[in-house]
Order: sequence, then C-alpha cells, then structure tokens
Amino acid sequence: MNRIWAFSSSLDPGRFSLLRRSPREPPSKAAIFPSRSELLAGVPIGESLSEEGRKRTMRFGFAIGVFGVLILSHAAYSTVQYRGLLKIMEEEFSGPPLNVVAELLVGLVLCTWAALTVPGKFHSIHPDSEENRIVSLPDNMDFMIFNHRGRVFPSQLDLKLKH
Amino acid sequence: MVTKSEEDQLNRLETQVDNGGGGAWEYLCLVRKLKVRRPDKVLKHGLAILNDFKKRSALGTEEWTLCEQVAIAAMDCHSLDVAKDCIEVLRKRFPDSKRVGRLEGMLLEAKGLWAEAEKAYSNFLEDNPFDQVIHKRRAAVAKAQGNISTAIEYLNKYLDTFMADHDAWRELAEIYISLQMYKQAAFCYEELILSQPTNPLYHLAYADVLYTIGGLENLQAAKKYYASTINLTGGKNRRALFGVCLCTSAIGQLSKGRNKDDKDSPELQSLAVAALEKDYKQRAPNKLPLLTSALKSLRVSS
Repeated sequence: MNRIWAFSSSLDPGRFSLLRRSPREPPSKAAIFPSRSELLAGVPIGESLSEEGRKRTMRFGFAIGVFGVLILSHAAYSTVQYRGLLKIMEEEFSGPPLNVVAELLVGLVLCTWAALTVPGKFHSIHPDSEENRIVSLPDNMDFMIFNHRGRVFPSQLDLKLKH
Repeated sequence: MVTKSEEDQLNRLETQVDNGGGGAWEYLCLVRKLKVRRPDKVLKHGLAILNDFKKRSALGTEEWTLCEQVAIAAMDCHSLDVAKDCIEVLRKRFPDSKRVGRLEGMLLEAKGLWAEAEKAYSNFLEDNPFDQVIHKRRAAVAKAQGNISTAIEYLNKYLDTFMADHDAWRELAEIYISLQMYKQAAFCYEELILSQPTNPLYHLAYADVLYTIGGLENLQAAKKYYASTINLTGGKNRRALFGVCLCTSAIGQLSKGRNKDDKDSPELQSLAVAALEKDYKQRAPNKLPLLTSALKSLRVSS
C-alpha cells in the first residue's frame, strides 16, 4: 500500500492527486434553510473569502480553457490551409509547419491547466491527511442500550414536546 | 467513520451551539451523519427546534427525521415522556410504518419492559425475517438484560447471514473483550481488518488484543499491527506509538535468555520514542519528564 501512496505523491508533488476530486457544488437553491454545502462548511465566515477566491480562479480558468480551445481550432484551421497550399504547389506533406506545432503546444498546456483548475479542488488520497485520518469510530447506534448510568440522573430540564 | 477534519468541525459547531451562536440544525445534521452519541445536546437543541413552529415548518420533510432523532435521544436521556410524544406524532403521520414500530419497541426497552419488547421484535421478524435492525435490537435487548451469552448467540446467528455487517462484528468483538475471551475477539478484529483494511483503528484494536494475549509470536504480530497503525495515521496515533514501545520491551524480556536474532528493525522503537517525545514537547511540556521516566523504565527492563 505504501508504494501506491508513494507513487501518487511522486506523480504529483502538490500532495494532491488526480484520482479523486470534489464534485462541483450544486447551485444553492433559494433554500429555506441552508444548503448542504453550507451545512457542512459549518461556520462560513472564515471560509466565504476563500470560497469567493476559488470562484474567481474558476472563472479565470474557464476563460483560459476557452482560449486554449480557440488556439487548438486555429491550429487545425491553419493545418487544413497549409495542406491546401501544398496541393496547389504539388509538394509532399512532410510535417506541420512550426507555428502550428507551437500553437498545439500552447493550446495543450492551457487546456490542461484549465481542466485541472475548473472542476474544483482535489481531495487528498493520503490516509494520514486531515480529511482522511480516522480518529474515532461511530458509536454503534444500532446496539444502543438504555440502562446505562445516565438513567440514574434524569435530565433536570423540564422538557416537553408541544404540538 | 469520523475523520479528523469532521471531528474538528463537530467540536466547533458544538461550542457554537452551546454558546447560543445558532446553527443548531447544522449541528444535529452533523451528529446524525457522523453517528455520534450526544443525547443530551440532541434532546435540548432538537426539542427547541421542534417546539418552535416557524423553524419546524421550515424543515419540510426533514421534520420527521428530526423527530426520530429526538425520540431516540430522549430515550437515551431517560425522558420517556418526550420520547412518547415524539413517537405519537410520528405514529399519527405514518400509521403503519415499521420504522415507527421499531421506535415503539425501543421505548419499551427504555421502560425496562423486556418481555414486551422482545415480543414486539419477534412479531416484526415474523413479518420480515431479514430486518437487520430488528435482529440487532434483539441482541441489544439481551445485552441490556445482562444475558451476554444470549447476546453472543444472537449475534453469531445474525453474522452467519449478514457477514458483511462490520458494526455487528465490532459489537461482537467488544462483547468478547468484556468477557476476556481474547481469542474470539481477535477473530472478529481479523474480520474487520479484512473488510476495511485502511481503517487504522481496527489494526490498533487487533494489536491491543494480541498484546493482551501475550506470548512471543503474538507480541511480534502486535508490534507489526501497531506499526501498520502508525503507517496509516502518519504517526499521529499516540496509543500505537506507546504500543510499539511496550511490545519491544516485552519481546526483549521474553527472548532475554535465548539467542537474539534481531530480524526486525531495531530503529522502530527509537523512532517511536522520538516521535512521542516530540509530540509531548509540543503539546504538554510539563508532562515530558513523566514520559521520559516511563520510557526509561521500559528500556531498563528490556
């Protein structure tokens, strides 16, 4: 198992790997009570800023991705044109011209970067990271029994369910 | 499973709710999701939501989930009136639900009417012999009455059918440990490790059981499982670190007379000691002398 973790970390020095990724958050409905993501976030005060920042990088990444796709399609277009030109000049096609290769490389880098940033943050797959390290087992609620010492101390609060 | 970040979140929400900072519903959701047992707090805050008409109607269909949660918490706190009221509300809404029927059975348990509860559960099982929760409740009833052997029998029968239920394996292991039947408990933990090999706590519990049984081979195996716990937790589990030290010293004592073939790495113990000392230095500097003297006594005896 150690080797798998080591492999993943050597693939990706940023401690995050491509294997798991957080699902994109669903658009929060005009909910009566807070949406699930907010529920899980607990106190959103400290996290709202980073959330905002994340959204901004996501939008930026999306723009970069669109730009990358445009560059790639431009490369395709110029290749088609180049081949048309070769046909007219009656020469053999030996390889794409240099500017097309450069465009392909730039487009690849931009699209890859966008694909890595837009869908969301990566989850850690390390078993000892804070998100994955199991610190306690759930209490076995199915086997819960009620004659424990708590019953000797009935709750002093005068609780009542009103209908 | 409760991970470290979830535990932090739960504690943060708990203090926030206790100090009147709001977020009670979020807290209750988290308690339900993580399956932790906080009956007093669930009862207090859940009942506050249920009694507040506006908040209650805002929950929509979640209201009934909350009602169930509060009913169970009330039984756990022995506020049987509240539990009864909640169950009545649920019964009115869902006239022939089995889930409510189970709650009624649990109320009988909480009142201490074991025979009635047992009867109710066997009626349910006649209708549906594969209701896992009812089977588990029957084992719990036996345990609550003190019939541990009956509980073990029920659990064994249940596990013959539902072998993949790790909660039941864990319960059985804990019952065996309470009876000091360590061999059987070790078997249960082996099952658990097989079903969830990445859960360090099962490795830890198995190592504890092996260490308790004793004997050279068991001690060596225990040391390995402590080491695997350290591996899975990144050395943040102090119990495993102490376990490695204890195992090393016990193995040293047992193999003192014999020829020493140190196959396993001798650094393991010193690394564990270094990790412990570092941790204590960071978190509790005034307890550090205590730790060093304890470790020294271990090393002296080895």
